[in-house]
Amino acid sequence: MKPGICLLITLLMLWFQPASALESKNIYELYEDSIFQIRVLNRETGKKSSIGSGFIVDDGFHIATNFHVISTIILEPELFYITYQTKNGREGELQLVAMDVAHDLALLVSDENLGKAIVTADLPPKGAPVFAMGNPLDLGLSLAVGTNGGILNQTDDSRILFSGSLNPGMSGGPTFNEDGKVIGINVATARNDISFIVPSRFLNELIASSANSSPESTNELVTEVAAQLIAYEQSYIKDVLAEDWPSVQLRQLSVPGTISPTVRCWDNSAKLKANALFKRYQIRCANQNHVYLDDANKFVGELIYEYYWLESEELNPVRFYNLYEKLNKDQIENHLSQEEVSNFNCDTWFVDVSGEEFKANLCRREYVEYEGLSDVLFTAALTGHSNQGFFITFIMTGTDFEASLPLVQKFLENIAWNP
Amino acid sequence: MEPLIIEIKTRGLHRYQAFDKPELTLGRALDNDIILSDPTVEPYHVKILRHEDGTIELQNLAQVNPAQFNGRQDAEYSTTILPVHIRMGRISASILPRNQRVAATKLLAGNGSSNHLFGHPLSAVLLLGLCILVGGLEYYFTSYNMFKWEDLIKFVFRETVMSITAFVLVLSIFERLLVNRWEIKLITISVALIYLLYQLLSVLANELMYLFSSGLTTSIFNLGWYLIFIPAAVSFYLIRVTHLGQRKGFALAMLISSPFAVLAIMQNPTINSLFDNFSSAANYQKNLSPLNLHLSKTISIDTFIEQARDLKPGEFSD
Repeated sequence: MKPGICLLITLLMLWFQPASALESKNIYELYEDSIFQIRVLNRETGKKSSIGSGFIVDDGFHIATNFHVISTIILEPELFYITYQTKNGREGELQLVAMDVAHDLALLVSDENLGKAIVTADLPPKGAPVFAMGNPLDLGLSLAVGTNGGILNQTDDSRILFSGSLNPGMSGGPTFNEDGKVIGINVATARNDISFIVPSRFLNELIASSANSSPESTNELVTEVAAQLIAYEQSYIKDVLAEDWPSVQLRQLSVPGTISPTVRCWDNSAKLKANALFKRYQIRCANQNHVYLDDANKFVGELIYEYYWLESEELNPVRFYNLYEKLNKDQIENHLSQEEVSNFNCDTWFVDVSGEEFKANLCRREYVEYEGLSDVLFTAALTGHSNQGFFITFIMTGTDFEASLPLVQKFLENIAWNP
Repeated sequence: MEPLIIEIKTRGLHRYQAFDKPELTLGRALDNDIILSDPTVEPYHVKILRHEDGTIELQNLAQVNPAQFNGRQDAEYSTTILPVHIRMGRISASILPRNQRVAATKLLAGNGSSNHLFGHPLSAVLLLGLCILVGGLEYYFTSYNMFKWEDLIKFVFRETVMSITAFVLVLSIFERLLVNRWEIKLITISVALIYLLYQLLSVLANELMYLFSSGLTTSIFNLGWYLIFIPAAVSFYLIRVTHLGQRKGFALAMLISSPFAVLAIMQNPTINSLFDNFSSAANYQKNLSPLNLHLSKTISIDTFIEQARDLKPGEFSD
């Protein structure tokens, strides 16, 4: 074929090709003016306390970012304030309009029109390319390419799995589909190329709910955070209670298994010494939908339950119970200080569960700053068996105490002893 | 001349010497009537003169560490009243009448009877053996792997033998310093009895904690043991066995017991909460018992949840 004809055919093919998806460089060029660095500054020192990213939404006056990017102002609104910085170095102050603590979102507003708002879209199919933009490590605007891994039900549908690399500073930035629309907001990373995005529908809900809202009163920020967390926990517990709980057989007991799609269970049995005169089996279940609260408390909304079975044919009852008592301890992490939480208050009961007696303990502590928010620890140890032991540890952090009790109740009601 | 008695006080048994001469000298030089081999005493420290009318005249001969007579530092001191107390350097002495009454005789520990627990060295050996047996039982009841002789020996040596030996040595040193005697047998018996009693009571306290579903019993046991029982036992030993005076014995017992008392206070959660009123740990009832004796009624899940609603959060610390 003659070279002239080849060129003509190629040109015709290009001419009739359907509209192609945007490439990463196009997305970068299209939106680099609509994505800012979000900074929380100390009024006294004028220096950055935390940084993240944000992008223009709604009417051009609003910026979306993560709650955890600006959460420093919640406890000390007099000391800190929020600003944005464009790629050209232009700065301006922002006010907090609304927040969705459970999904780690915040909506900020500026006095001036900041530019072209970015529109949102639904999630593309799994495996489709997506592009996350933000300001990693205070180094300037950057774009990370990855694919959509779908919505994670273990996070209570609040996270999209992103197979790209998010780094500190990119939190709050947008993640685009191939059409250049925002499908979510960068929020967290686990390790190399395992990152998480908040679905854009939560941002749309936040924008809709904040319509006609004026900036949040600084005095009510803490109350609002606590109220949102409590409401989320109540709703989450309600959903968990509504589930049909599958059972797991652990020796002579049938116990609740994965009680919610948010929960994952693992065998946690430690390897025993070869000369051990006993056997023990351990299952640990925990939810994945933790909620960022603040720098000190970090994450709340944990639901953890552990089962521990112990048996021995060789140990006599005295030896067996010495071991049983030694192993009977909670696994709650105790890194919180008196600045953050109250002491635990505990009480003890002997409770009939499926015809067997359990020694049960319930403990409760409250958060200093967030009224109504509690950590709940429940333990129950099987009694009355000379060479069989079993105990449960059940922990909920940053929850509503009253709402947690039906969960404890259903938990106990779903334990059955199989003689 | 009616003989008088010179009493020279020492850490061990006091020296007593009768004298009926009209003149007597005390000092470190070897030609004195009473020789005091203490470096704070001068070669010729005090001269005692007895007159026909019954007057006793005391003369200070010392330039260094001058003598004191009945608490007064005079060059000469005369009196007809006995006893007279003399201080020479760090030596204390008294002039006593011959008919001075002596204190009532104190019974030997165990009444001096070889059948008594405190009366025979074999008791100490048997009690030590019993302690080692109890230590072995403690190992047995708190080990959950296949039996190994070497583990047993290590445990008993570390937990029982070393503990008892340390206490016996410390108390022996105290006794040596106090009354210049070694009472290894009596101390060993006493420490062994305390060890056995502790083992028994700690098991009992644990059962009581389960019975009442309250950590208060263990707190009371620990505080009672270290703040009351140990000082009382040491006082009893010092007063009845070592035969110290009551005040001295009690004060010394408090001194000896105070490190244990301080430790007990520091480790007691109830007391701790008074000083450091925050704990990030949940201090709930973790103890379990094979006897499963408890005063609380076993209730249904519904009743439990109903009662649990009344659980208040813990106190905020300041």
